[in-house]
Amino acid sequence: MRNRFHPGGGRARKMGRRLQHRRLFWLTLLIVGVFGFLAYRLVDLQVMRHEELKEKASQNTEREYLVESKRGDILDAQGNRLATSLFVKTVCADPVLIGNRQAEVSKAIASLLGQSEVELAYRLQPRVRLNTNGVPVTNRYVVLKRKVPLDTVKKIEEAMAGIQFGVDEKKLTRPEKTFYENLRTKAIFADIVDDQLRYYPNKTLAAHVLGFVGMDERLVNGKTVLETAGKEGIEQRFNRQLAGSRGWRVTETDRKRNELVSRREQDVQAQDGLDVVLTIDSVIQHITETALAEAMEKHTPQSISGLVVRPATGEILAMATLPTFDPNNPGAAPPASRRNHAIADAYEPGSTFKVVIVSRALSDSVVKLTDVFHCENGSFLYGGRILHDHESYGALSVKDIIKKSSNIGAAKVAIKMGPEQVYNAIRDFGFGTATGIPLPGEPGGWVHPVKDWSKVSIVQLAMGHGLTVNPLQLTMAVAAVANKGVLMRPMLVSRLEEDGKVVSPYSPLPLRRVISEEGARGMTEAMKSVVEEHGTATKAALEHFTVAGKTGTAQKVENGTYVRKYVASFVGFLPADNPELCVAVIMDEPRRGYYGGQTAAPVFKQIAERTANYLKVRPDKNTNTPAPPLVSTTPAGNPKTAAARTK
Amino acid sequence: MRLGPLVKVVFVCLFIGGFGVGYVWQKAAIEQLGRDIKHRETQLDGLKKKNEAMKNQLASMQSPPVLEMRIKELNLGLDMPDPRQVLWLAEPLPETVAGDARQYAAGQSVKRSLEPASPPLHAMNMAPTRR
Repeated sequence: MRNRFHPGGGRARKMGRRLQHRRLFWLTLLIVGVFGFLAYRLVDLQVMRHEELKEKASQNTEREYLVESKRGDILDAQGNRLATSLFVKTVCADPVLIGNRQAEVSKAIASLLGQSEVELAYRLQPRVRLNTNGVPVTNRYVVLKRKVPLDTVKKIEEAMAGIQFGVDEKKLTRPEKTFYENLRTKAIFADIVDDQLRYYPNKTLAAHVLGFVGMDERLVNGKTVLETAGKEGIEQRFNRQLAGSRGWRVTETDRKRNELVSRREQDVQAQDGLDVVLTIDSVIQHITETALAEAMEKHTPQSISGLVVRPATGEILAMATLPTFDPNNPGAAPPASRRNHAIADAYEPGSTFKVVIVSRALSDSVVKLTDVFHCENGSFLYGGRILHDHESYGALSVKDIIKKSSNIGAAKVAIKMGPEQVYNAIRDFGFGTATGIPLPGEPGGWVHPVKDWSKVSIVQLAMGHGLTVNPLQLTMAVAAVANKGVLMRPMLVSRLEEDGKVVSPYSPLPLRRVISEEGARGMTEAMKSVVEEHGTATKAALEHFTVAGKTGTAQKVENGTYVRKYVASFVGFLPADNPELCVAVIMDEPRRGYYGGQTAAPVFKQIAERTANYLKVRPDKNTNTPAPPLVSTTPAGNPKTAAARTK
Repeated sequence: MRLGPLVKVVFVCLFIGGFGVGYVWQKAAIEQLGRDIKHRETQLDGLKKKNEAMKNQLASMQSPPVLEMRIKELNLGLDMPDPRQVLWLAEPLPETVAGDARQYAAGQSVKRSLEPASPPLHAMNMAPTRR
């Protein structure tokens, strides 16, 4: 209709169409261009720079961390924990998020970390360094303290959340508010990886047996990691079994470092370490340590050791040494205190060694208990040297030689045996070879072969000189006499467990018969007389148990000559005819008395009596005397307990 | 009006829509499950740590030195029992049990008796101190 009245309408329509086409063209071009650019960008990002961007993306979100295995516990024979591990954290800081607020932060948390404010503020300063590509980077991970207990970590988080900076935060700009929020919540943080702290709940109890742990650096997948490793005792010897094996996890986290479990790629669980169950009984260990501590106070020796062994199995029920240390903080004690004298000391045993020579002579029928030897009235010239007794004795039976501890009598028994037989006896009883106890640092001792002996060696050996032994060897030798002549391997570990299930049991191991049953019986008879009247160790006698034992008082050698310093010892077992316990006490340089019968025997008595009572060993002596009342009667006639009486 | 194509269109739309919604729902469910797993893992971890802490506390409290210290502190007067305060019962003989309907303990001979009768001893083998 319009075209009819306007002759130029067709041209205008054409122009309009052309304009539309042009617009359409440009629009299409624009769309194609935009989509083309997007397609290019897509190809660029997804194909051309795929690897580079994938790497960047994974760096932002992907996390790979190691999962620590829990170190196994060390338990006593009753299942009580002697060593365990506490979960702890490593507290770290991000100095970039702290800005210039080091003073306030260090003031808030220094005391919780046990550090000085000045030192901590210095460590919170941001530091710039060049990375491997030469690009300057600021440190964002500073370890403030390792092994921080979880409750302390919580206190640190609370302290950071409540920290005040003396500014009106309502008036702050948004970036400033974000800064303070990050400072409070993210600047100080606990490392995601759990750490462990070895904990010994009984403190010094059985410290030398348990040992202690330290930290070792190891390279794992190119990363340096610190791991707990045993440095002494059972911790060291069973380190592999206790440590377990580490796991790992490859996963992704969100911006707030929360793990996105659905993106977890690898999750290998850590395998916890095995529990080591010892033969040590913590109550007997405590009894032993208490008795040793009292003797330490009374006689102030350089060191004192005590061992309690079951003769029939070789199980070590207690192994104690003083001075001692707290394995929770081993560095606080001097190195000498960390030495386990019960196995690490090699010394000349003195008269306790007569048990070895005389029992073998009895076993091989070289002598009988009733055979009599003349003890030369205390002075015996042999091989150009004069041998002395501590008292002058005339004729003594073999039994009395042990009872009186006559050096000359024992020497004459050894001479009658001959060098080869004496040497074989010494070796058979296990001297000169480490016992194989699973503890580090045990010397085998020093026993010369017969070809290196001088003329006097045989008499020296008979009285326990001219060789070195360690206390455990001597204890096991006497335990062999108690065990009817069979030498057992000392047993310190009863089994390995995993979650209470036995993984690896250890059994008692008889090594060999060292003397005949008859010989052992004869030796026991002789040793019983030691604690009787006129014996050398009357102070070792017990009221309810028959004791068989032997004293030892050995002079020490310094710079090649014997000096007036002594090692006093007493080794015995009870009940003598059916032994359940073998107890040894060794004192190095005791004061206020130096004879084994004076110093070590009373300690033996204390340990043996309490241990036998604790183990409910059946008494074999004075069984008909009336028992003391458990409940007393007050003058008014009202029964009262002892507990009430003591108040 | 032909309904066939309309039904087809609706069906296709529902299928595509349902697929999309299902995909999103599944993703959301996976994320939620992930959060639940993490929450339970954290909870389990916390409980394990709490359990360990309590076991350690128990170990500290049962420690012989600590027990002895507490006995002294509280002046309980406890000590090891005297061997004569311990009752010794003979090993049971199967024939006696089979042939005798009496109470088992009554059928056994008591080697030694205590006068007066001994109360049960403390779990730590401790009895009142003798005076």
